[in-house]
Formats: sequence, C-alpha cells, structure tokens
Amino acid sequence: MRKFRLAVLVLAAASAMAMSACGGSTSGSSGSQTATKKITIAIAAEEIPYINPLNDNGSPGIQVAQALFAPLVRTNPATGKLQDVIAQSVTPNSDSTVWTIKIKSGLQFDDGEPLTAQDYVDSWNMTSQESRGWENAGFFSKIKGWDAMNPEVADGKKPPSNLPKKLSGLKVVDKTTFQVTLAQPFSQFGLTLQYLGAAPMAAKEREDPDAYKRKPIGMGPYKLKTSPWKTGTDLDLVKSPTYKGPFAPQADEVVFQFIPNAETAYNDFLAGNIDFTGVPASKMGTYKQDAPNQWVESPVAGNVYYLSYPLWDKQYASADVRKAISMAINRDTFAKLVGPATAAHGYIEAGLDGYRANSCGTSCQYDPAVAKTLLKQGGGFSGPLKIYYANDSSTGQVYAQAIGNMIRQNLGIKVTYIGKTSSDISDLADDRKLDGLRFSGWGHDYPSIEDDITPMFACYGDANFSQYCNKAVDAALAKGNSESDEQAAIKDYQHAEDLALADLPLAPLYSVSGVDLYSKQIKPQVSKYTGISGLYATFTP
Amino acid sequence: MTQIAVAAEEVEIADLAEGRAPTTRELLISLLRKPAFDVCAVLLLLFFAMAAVPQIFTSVDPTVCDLGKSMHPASAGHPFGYDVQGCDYFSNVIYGARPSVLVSVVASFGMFLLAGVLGLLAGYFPGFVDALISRTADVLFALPGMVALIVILNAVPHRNIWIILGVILMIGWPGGMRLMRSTVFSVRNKEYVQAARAIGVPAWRILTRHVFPNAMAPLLAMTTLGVGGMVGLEAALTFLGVGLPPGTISWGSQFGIAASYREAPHLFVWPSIFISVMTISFMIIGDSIRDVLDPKLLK
Repeated sequence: MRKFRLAVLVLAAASAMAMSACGGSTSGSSGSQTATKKITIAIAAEEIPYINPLNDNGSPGIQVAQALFAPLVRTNPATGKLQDVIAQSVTPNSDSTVWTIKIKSGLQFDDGEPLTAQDYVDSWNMTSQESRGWENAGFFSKIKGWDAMNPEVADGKKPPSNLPKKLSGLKVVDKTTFQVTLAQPFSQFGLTLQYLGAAPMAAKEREDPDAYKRKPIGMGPYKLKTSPWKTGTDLDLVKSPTYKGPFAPQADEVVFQFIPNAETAYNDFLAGNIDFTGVPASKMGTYKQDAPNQWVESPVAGNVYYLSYPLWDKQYASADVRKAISMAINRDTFAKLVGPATAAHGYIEAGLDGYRANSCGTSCQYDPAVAKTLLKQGGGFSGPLKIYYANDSSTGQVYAQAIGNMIRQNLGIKVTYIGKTSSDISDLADDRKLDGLRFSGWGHDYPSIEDDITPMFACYGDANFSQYCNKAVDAALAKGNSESDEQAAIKDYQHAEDLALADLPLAPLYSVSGVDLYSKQIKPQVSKYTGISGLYATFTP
Repeated sequence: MTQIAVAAEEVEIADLAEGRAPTTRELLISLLRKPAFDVCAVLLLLFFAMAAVPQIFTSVDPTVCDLGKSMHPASAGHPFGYDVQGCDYFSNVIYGARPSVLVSVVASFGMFLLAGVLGLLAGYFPGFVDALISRTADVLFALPGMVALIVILNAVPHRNIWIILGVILMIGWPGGMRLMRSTVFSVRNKEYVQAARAIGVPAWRILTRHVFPNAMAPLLAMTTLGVGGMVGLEAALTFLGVGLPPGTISWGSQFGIAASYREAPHLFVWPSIFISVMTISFMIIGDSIRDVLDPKLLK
C-alpha cells in the first residue's frame, strides 16, 4: 500500500514544507561571509524511529530525507518544469512503457562508494517486495513483474515462499544507465521519479537495513553530524563533502527538531529558538500579529480536504444521501473557520494543470432545501450520524462540530461526535469498521492531476479513504495513463474525476495553503509550483 | 427579625458556656448573620436555578448556530456575542451551568457519604475492617490523582456525566475517609459512647445516633470547601478532553475551545467569570460553615 504523506490529515501546515522541498536556489553564493549558516527547522511530529526514505511515506520522514537524499528529478521552483537532479536524462519510448534512466557519473554515497545504476535497481527490487513490509512497496507497482512478486493472498493464507526477488521490468544497461519497463503505459512515470521513495540505498545498507536505521548512508546534500543519531536528540545535519550533484541548499548546517505539538513549536519559534516552522490551524487567526513580517503564505493552493463517507455502511450507500450531506454544508463559512482556506468544489488541487474551478457542480453547492429532498429520495437517515475527529489535533473537534451543526440543522439528523487518535480512525476505516464520517486530506506527490485521483478513487488506490470502486473510473485513468499527449491525458483524467464526483464517495470541503514562519536570518524559498521550503532558504546577510 | 436574632444570640451564648454542641437551628442562624455567606448563597441559588431551568434565563436555543457569525462580538440580543460555531454565547454559558453544578454537588455529596461511612467503619472497628479500608486508601493515595483520572477516563469508550462522577468518587474518597476516621477515634471512647455500649446498644445504632453526629463536622467543612474545586475539576477534565463528550454544553468545553482561539477573548472571559464566581461562592460558604462548626473559633 502506497500511502504517501497521510500526515497531511493532521499536520496541515507542516505538509506545506514537505511539498516544497525539491526546490532550490543555487544563486547567491555566500561570498566573504564566514559564519556558519545554520538553520533550525521544527517538524511538528513525534521523532521518526528511523531514517529510510524507501520505507517511509509520512511527512516528517520525507522532510528529513530531502536533506539526506537527492531525487532523480525535481520540479523547478521557478518554472514548474521537470528537471534532472541525479538523473542525466529520463527518456520514455513512444508509448510510455519503457523508460531509460541515465544517471550522472562521478556521484557517490556518503561512505565514498560510487552511485551506480545497479544501486537503483537493487534498491527498487528490495523495496518492491511487499513481504518485506516496506511502506513504499506500492510505489513500484506499475513496473512489470510487480504482480508476480506480490500476488494477491487470501486472508489468513501464507504467500508462496518461492516468489521472485527481482522485478522483471528492471534492467541494468551499463554502470550509469538502467531501463524500466512498465506493465501498462504510464505517461506520468517521469513525474513520479521525484518522489524520494525511489531513492537508492548504499550496498552496505542493503545487506542489513536494520543496522543502518539511525545512521543512514545518504547520497544527498547533507549527512548526519554525529552518527548514529541518538534517540531523543535533535537531528543535526552538516553539508556532505561527497555530494557532487546540483541544487544543494545554502545552509551549512541543518537541525531538525521534532516537536510533537505544533503549538509548542509555534511558541518555540516566537521565543526565538527555531528558524522555520509551520503555523498550526489554531493560530491561523493570530500569526500575523504574533510574527509580523516573518510569515509567508504558500502560493500553492494546497491540499484538498474531504469529508469521507464510509461506503461500506449501508446508511451511506445511496449517492443521494451522500449528496444531501454535501449540500447541507456551507463550504464558504467553513473555509473561513479553517483560516486561509478556500472552499473546494472538486477533487483537484488548484494550480495543477487540468484543475477546474467547479467540477463538482450542484452536489457541492450549499442548498439546504434541495439537500432535504435528496435525503428523502435517498431513503432518509436513521440517526444519530457519527462524526469521527482526530483528538490529537486541537481543531479536530471544532471542525467536526461545525460540520455536525450544519448537518443537524439543515437535515434534521441527530449528530454525535467521537474523538480518537488519527491512526485509530484510519485503522477502523481500513477494517471497514468505521461507522461515521471522518475528515481526510490529500496533497499530491508529483504535480499531475492523476495523483489527485488514482490514490483516492481507483479501485486499487492506496489512499482510497471510502473504499470506493468504479470500473469506469479505472478505465478512464488507464486511458489517460496511456496517452502520450499531455492534454489528451488531462481530458481523460478529468473524465475520471467527473465519474467519481457523480458518485461522491468523498465530499470535497476546502483546500488550504500552508503558512510558515521564518526567522530574521533566513528567507524561505517560495515557489508557486513547489510551495514554501525552509530547507532551501537563503540567508540574509 | 431583630428580636429573634437577639434571642438566638442569647441562647447561643448561654449554651456555649455549657460546652454543648450548637443545634442545627443555631448554626443556621449564625451562618445567616454573615453577609458574605448570604451573598454567596443567593449567587449559588441563581446557579442552581440556571442548572435546573435554564429556559427562564434565556429564550435563545443554544444549539441554533450560524457558522457565518463565528466569534462575532456582542450585539443586541446577544450580550456575550457568538462562539466559534456561531451559536449564541450567552445561552451557551447559561446552559453550561448544568454539568458543572451537577458534577460539583453530586460528587461532593457522594464523597461526603462515601468518606463518612468508610471513615466511620474504619474508625469504630479497629483491626480487620480498619486495615482493609485504610490500606485501600493508601493504595489510592499512592496514585497521582489527576493522572489516574486521565488514564481511567481515557479507557472508557462512552463517557457520560455519571461515569465521570463515579471515577471522581473512586479516586477521591481517601482524604475525607482519613479525616472522618481520626475524628471517630476521638469520639468512640467518649463517656456517652461507652455508656451506650455498656447498656447493650447495637453498634449501628451507636454509630448513627452518637458517633456520626458528633464526628461529622470536620468532614462537612472539608466537603463544602471542596465543592468549588469540583467545578474546576470538571472544567479541567473536559478541557483535557477526558471529561464530558464533545457536543455537551459545559463551561469546561467552552474553556477548552477558547484556549485555542486567542483572537476572540470574549470566549474565554465569560465562562471563566462564571466558573470563578461559582467556585468562590462555594468556598466562602465552606469557609463560613467551618467557622461556625469550629468550637475553638466560637469561643
């Protein structure tokens, strides 16, 4: 299961940092300045247990990996175009099934070993095996041979022991070139390569990954200052002398501080202990006064947040009921409560190619009268309606009650609220035991509208919050994936979005762009394509 | 009125000279003669009325909310403004009195009974009964109170006001029990108790007729002083998310939400004024009761 960045569910503000980090500014050399450029970045999360981008898809781990590892390609923060980082070139064949990836020569890991095509192929083979239980196994599912390596196993049965250990679609051509053959055409594959789940692991680490949990051998611009990283201490990184790739950030030293409570991190910033941190949802009303001239709103209309219906519960089986609930919600006032958010009327993040402002149409318009009729048409609702909210976020209850009040008053349904930790709620939903609404959210991993649809609405989607399955949606996605023309692909993806919206398994609520705070000594990188990045901040003299 | 008061005072002085415990009537009269007590008693009656029949204080339904008015300040007809959800805050604060009053009064009364009975038994039957009760109390004393409450309440899936009350009682009785036990110790060997025992009065009758009435005063004072703390405890638990379930209107939950929205100070001010006034009223009343019950202060 590929579940990138599910942390966005709770850490709305923090994810803006994660989304942004591939950007870089190579301009502005440090000149005569001799003082160490040190930046302290707060990560509003529990300390990560290990550093391994191949086995991590949470926002905190991705942020750390962005400093220690380098992706094959990245989105240029200035132009929004894809550009090579570790890759020398990424070339698809005519129908986007065979991709030839050539990496730059002369690059090496922190331990001095050269970085080769073999490292990529071996690492990907290793991660792909679901039996190893690595988080990003699903990322490679489009590569030929993945299905044979990871056959469907009925519950309670053991998978066969003689499964292949290598993907048939991966082939080393020479020392710096390898070829990826996909099972189906996928025109967006090049874009996906900026995800750090596809980072290579050093040969030594591949032999015994557990031994390197807290002393990873990276290949990025930074390395651990003291290795191994001790539990309970800040993660202190220094420039890696072995990194020869482009787009290294300016800072000489980067310190990541894990602060589980986002409000504590915020207050710590105000006390002057932190250079860069996100603004928690509860401070959205006050950050401009608290930190004048030290805040920046992300120009990217960020993650889309939804109300997820439990489709496995027969109370929510009727699309009319789902639409009735959606139409009982006044998105504009709700967005105002959230802060710098805008009402969402579709599944696609604004700013992506192919975004349409009101793709949801009437189903997302506030209209209590029609909502009531639809509810009756759909067979009504025998209450109480339950809303689950994350009680590890300070605003979870407030949002839940705001939605609940509107449903109660506009549809006349009794509403109850259940607070649980966000991981408990996800677990319940995964087991199809959740019997109420919940909040979920999504931010793309690579800038394509395909990534705003496939994970949530394809039958095989990794973040299919409502466990929605419609073969027509899958077909539209497959059609888009095989188009070599970008505009034609977008049309197909939009068709998939329309099909999903007609069933409304998730009700889009709002999209929020992150706000970050930065200290006087830095200026974060701000891009309308990649968002805000603290890691790639420039230092003010 | 003055005549009665003067008469009562004479009776009181005469009685106290004999070293007799004052009667309930005399206690009440001396309480009512304290102006602070009177003011607080009136305030508490108001709060009780609020809890019992909030409708007479406000005609606005606290659950009618318009999110568009979220955190708006006071306006005509809405003296406290609106809360985060856009509900009328005045009616919410009024309706919020019920859980606070219920928790504080029922928990205190329950605590008085539980601690009183257990203390009575522990103090009057030394040996096995005393050991059982006192050692159980020691175990509970060893638990840090607030932490124990949070842990236990977190483990309860569907909390309601009675479960919270039960847990508060379960954790809270040892303090009162010890006080009661020690006063029973001083009473149980008094001549009138020995006399009763000598003529064969059964134990439960001695306890209810002779020991309890003469040993309860310190516990009563302690309990009334503690009622105010209970209001705060309910608010604190709800604030921490282990109290009343969300959706319940209570001062604690209003407080908890206000803490996250500093830009709207009225959300914070009103429930805190109500909590403070109610807590202080209970404390002053508790203080007054302790004063009139304490023979040392009377002389």
